[in-house]
This record gives sequence, structure tokens and C-alpha cells, in this order.
Amino acid sequence: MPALSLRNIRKSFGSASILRDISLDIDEGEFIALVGPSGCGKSTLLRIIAGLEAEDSGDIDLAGRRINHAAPRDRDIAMVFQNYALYPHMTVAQNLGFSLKLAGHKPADISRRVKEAAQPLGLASLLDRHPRQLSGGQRQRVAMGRAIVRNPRAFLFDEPLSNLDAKLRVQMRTEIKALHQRLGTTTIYVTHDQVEAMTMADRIVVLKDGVVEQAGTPLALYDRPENAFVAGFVGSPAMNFIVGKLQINGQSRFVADDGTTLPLGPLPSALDGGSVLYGIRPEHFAIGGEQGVDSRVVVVEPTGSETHIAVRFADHDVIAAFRERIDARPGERLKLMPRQEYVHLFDAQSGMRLN
Amino acid sequence: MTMSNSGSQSAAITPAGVDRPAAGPSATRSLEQADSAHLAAHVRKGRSTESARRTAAWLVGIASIDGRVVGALVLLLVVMFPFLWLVQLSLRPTNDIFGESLLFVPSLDSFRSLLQSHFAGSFVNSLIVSTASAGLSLLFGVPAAYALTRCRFRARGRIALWILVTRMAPPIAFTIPFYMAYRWSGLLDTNLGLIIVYLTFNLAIVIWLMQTYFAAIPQALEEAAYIDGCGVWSAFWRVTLPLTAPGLAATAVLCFVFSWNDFFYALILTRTNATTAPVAIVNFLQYEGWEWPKIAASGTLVMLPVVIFTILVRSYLVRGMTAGGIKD
Repeated sequence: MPALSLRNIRKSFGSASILRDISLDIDEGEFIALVGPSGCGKSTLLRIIAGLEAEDSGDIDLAGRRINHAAPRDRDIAMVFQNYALYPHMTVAQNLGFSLKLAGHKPADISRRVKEAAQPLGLASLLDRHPRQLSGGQRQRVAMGRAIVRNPRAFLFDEPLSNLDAKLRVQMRTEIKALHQRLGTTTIYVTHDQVEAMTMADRIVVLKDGVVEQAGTPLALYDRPENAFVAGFVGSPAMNFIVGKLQINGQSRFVADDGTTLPLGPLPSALDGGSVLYGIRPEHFAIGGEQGVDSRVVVVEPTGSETHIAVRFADHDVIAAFRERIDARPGERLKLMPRQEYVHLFDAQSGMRLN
Repeated sequence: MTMSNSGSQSAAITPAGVDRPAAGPSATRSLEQADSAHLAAHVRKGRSTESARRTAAWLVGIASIDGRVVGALVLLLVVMFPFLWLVQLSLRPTNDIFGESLLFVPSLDSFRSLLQSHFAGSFVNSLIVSTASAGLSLLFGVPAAYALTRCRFRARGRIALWILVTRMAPPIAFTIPFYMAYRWSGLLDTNLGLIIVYLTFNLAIVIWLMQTYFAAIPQALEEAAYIDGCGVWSAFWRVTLPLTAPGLAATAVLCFVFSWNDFFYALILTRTNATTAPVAIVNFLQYEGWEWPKIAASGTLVMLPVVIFTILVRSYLVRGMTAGGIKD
């Protein structure tokens, strides 16, 4: 039995349809990332799970209990808000202990559990401070502590790191993942940052316009995206797409709009002549070789660990990434060849995967 | 600021309502003349130009500070004059009430004589009526303001506007109906009657002021409270209301002061039992003579709570309570 199960969730605000028929099963202890561009409905879905927003139709089951009409406080779910939402008039200890106090625990019990939750988060020395006396990272930890202290059935995170600077974000990312590994609580994590989703989640759910585009493990999404949207959304730098047609007569080939021809693995002959998007990730280019497509270097970006080269390839702007250091200069010409086993083909109209 | 600047500033201030030229500006001007003479002497004698320049800069500094301080004091005096005049009047010996000298032995005789008059009862009436109407206005107005802020129903804007309109109508428009109704219901010349009248305009103030305070509390805080285990009521009571406490205090004081200062309704709707302090003051203007010492003393007493509350509210409003809870 799944820990949390969503079936046919729909939601609209006025005439705007935010969620269209979302179904999702989440296993006990799983870390799920809901990811998608802004306005895709991921935050709304999270708020529906929390009970802060009412779904128009559909079912939500938490541990086998239908919680559609349960008030937020009766759902046994904790949530970490994007803007922390700490109670400004309470100390850190009072913030952490608020839910326990409302649940009627004894003061001694509350104080013990608050200390237990504060210790691993490094908040033990800050318990008497008010939120305004804390740094951004500390506030974030208090918000997490407030969720942890209740020992709830599930954690919900609503873009918790988007207000932190880049360095702190990476640090907190690791802390949240470590926290999940320590507690093993079912977690739903909303983010628009696919890197966050990739690095933290057991399973990623990609949403767009209120529809689940694909759900799967980070590497499954990366290696076999089911459509062009997921392919372009997951991975950084993003996958390159080249517009063209398939030519299948004995041997499969891709012919770009400018006439550049690229070899493909075997494909069903029914696809012959179809308009397609030819997708290739930046790191899947081979450099040099007689077969390579003559490409002009536009910009070279050394990141240290990788070198990103923006080139003009088959009349498209394309990024190629190499682990080895490549001494290329803008204006030079390189022979580039996509590695055939890593090519993704998508239908140009529907965006669905073909190979 | 240069010397000529400060001179023109004090010159501009002087004619603005003070009959006698104040001592300050003229002193400044003579100081300036002395400066230039002094300076000229310095230069003529051919002393070190460096030290002359330093002296000049120092004198300019003194002159400009003087100009500002004097200007501020003059303005303060103009604004405070009626108040200060009333206070000194209340402290004067009865036989020297219009004496011209400021050198007198202060006496509390006027205040003492107030205690024996009907003013003491009126003062207590004022306290009861103002406190009760402020309290009841908050009791009814705060939940209404909260509902109008958080519940997005369709008639929201219109309801809020009509509540405000009740405050905008001139009091005279309500006086006759109130008088008739009170005479019929026996509320005429009672504290309860006045409390109800003051509720009508204080409610509008509470609802409109508290709406802005509630709107400033991020909804995420209430949502966090819901998830932590609060219902609508406990989230309001434990999270929203404590955060609006400074606004609540300011609103309460405003309500109190508005009721406290009302003269018009109290004059029409009371006679002997429920007269408030402002009405009682007017009753010192009698056929047999105007009792200036009592008028001054009672006027001073009536102003006292207003002054105290204004100072309290000011320090409350400065405090930023929501700082730190929400990342903007």
C-alpha cells in the first residue's frame, strides 16, 4: 500500500485549469521531487496535499485513509514554506515546540523533543533567539526543525531553498538529503530547479501545465526522457535539439533542415520521412574524426571540470561539453560528431519519444 | 550652511506669528556682524590665514546650529503656545489669573476646587464611556476587519465602503434621530447611550485600521499555524492577533481619544447625570461669570490622557513586530 496516493486530482482557479487529472502513488519513505516551470501547478498540488487548498475532484489517501476533507491539522503532515513562515513573536524554541504545545504535550516533554530536534540542526545554542536575530540559513533550519519535531507521516517542502544564496543552497541540499536518510520520512519536495530534483530525489515527477509529463528515477529521466519537454528540462546544460527529417531506406539517417546528415541506429521503416527533433546532450559529442560535422566555435566557457563550447552545428546553436580541456578559440572550426548510442529522437508535432 | 543662509532662515521664521521678535534670531544676527568684524580684524592684522580660516569655520558652525535650534524652538513655542498658556493659567493663584508676569507662585487651588464641583463626576463619566466604547469597538470591529481581510467574498469591497461612509456623514445628520430614539427608549442622559453612539463611529475606524494591519500579516504564517495544528480561531488568536498587537493598541487609543474628545453628541444627548468632561468645562461658563481658573484646570486635566496616550502609541508604532519571520 502506498504511503500517499493521489487519484485524478483536478483543480482550477476560475477558468484557469491548474491541475488536470493528476494521479501519483508515493511509497513509504520515498523522496519525491515535483519539478516543473513556474505555473505548472506543482505548488498547488503540494498545497492540496497539505489541505491548504481544496481539490475540485479526485482522492487523496494518506496511509490508506482518505483525507480529502480533513483539515490541515488532522492530516499529520508537516510543511516547510518557501519564505520559512516562522512565527516572528516566538523564540526558536517556541517556534519548534508550537505544534507539540497545540497537541497538548507536557512542557517537559516539549522541551526535551525540541532539544532533540534542534541538536542535529545546529540550533541548540539559538533556542532563545527570535527569528529576526537569525541568518537566512538558520531560519531555514528552524523551519525544518519545526517540521521534524512533530515526527509526522510526511514532509512537504515548497521550494525551501530558493531564498538562499548559491553556496548555502548546495549546503542545505545535502543537509535535507541527510535528514531524509536519517529519518526515512516520506517527503514531497517542490522545486523549479531540476538540479535540486536530480540530486535529492528518489523519484522525480515532471509537471507541465497541470499534467504529469513523466515520473521516474533521476537517471531514468535523464537517460530516457519520454518526451521533448522532459528531455529539455532535465540536465544542465540542457539537451540540444536539431530540427529535421528521418530517412529510412535500409539504413536510418537523420537529415537536418540545412542538409547535414547524421547516422542513426535501426528504426522502424514506418517512420521514414517523418519530421523529428534530434536530441543530443552536450556531453555526448565526440570531437575530431573524418565523419565529424564541420562546426564554427562561437563561445568557449571553461568551468574547470568541464569545457562548454557553444558552436554553430547544422545551422543550430548547440552546446557541447567535454571533460578534457580543449584549446578552442571563437571563430575556429571543429569536427563534431554526436555519439550515436546517446541520440534521442522525438516526434516534431507531439514531442513523444520515437527511439 | 553659510552665515547668510542661517540669517535668512531665522528672518523668515520670525514674522510668522510671533509679535515680539524672539531673542534668538536677533542674537544670531549680531553674532554674525561680530564674526565679520572679528574676521576682518584677523585678516588686517596679517595673522596666519590658516588659523583665521579655522576660526571662521568654527564661527559659521556655531551660527548655523544656533539658527536651526532657535528656529525649531520658535516653531515649537508657536504650536505649543495655547497649551502652555492654559497650563500656566491653571497653576496661577486665583486672584492673579490674568497677571502678566510669568513669575508667580504656582498653586493647585484651581484643581482642588474642581474636586468639589460636578467636574469630578463628569471626568469619571468620560473615562467610563471612552474606555467602554473603545473596548466594545475592538470586540466587534477586530473580527469584522479580519473577516473582511481574509475572506474574499464578492460583496467585500462594497461592505467595507459602506462601513466607511458611516464615518463620513456629518454628526448632525445622526443627532436628531439619536435624540428621538434615546428619548423614547430612556437612553437619554445615560453612559450607555453615549457608548452606543460612539460605537457607531469607532467601529468604522477599527474596521478600516485593523484591515490594513491584518493585510500586512503574511497569510503563510496562518497556513503554517494550520499545519502545526491550529484551527481558524486558534491561528487567529495565537499567531495573527499577537502580531497585530501594536496596531491594536494604536487603534484602541485612537478610539479612546475620539470618544474622549467628542463634545457635540455629549452636549446634545446628556443633561446632568452623564455629562462628559468637555461638556462640564462649558458649564463653567455661567451667567454669573466665567470661572477661568476652573476652566483652565479642567482643560489641562482633559488633555492629560490624550497626551499620555499619544506618547504611548508613538513608541508602539515604531516597533516592527513582524521582522524576521518571513523572507521577502
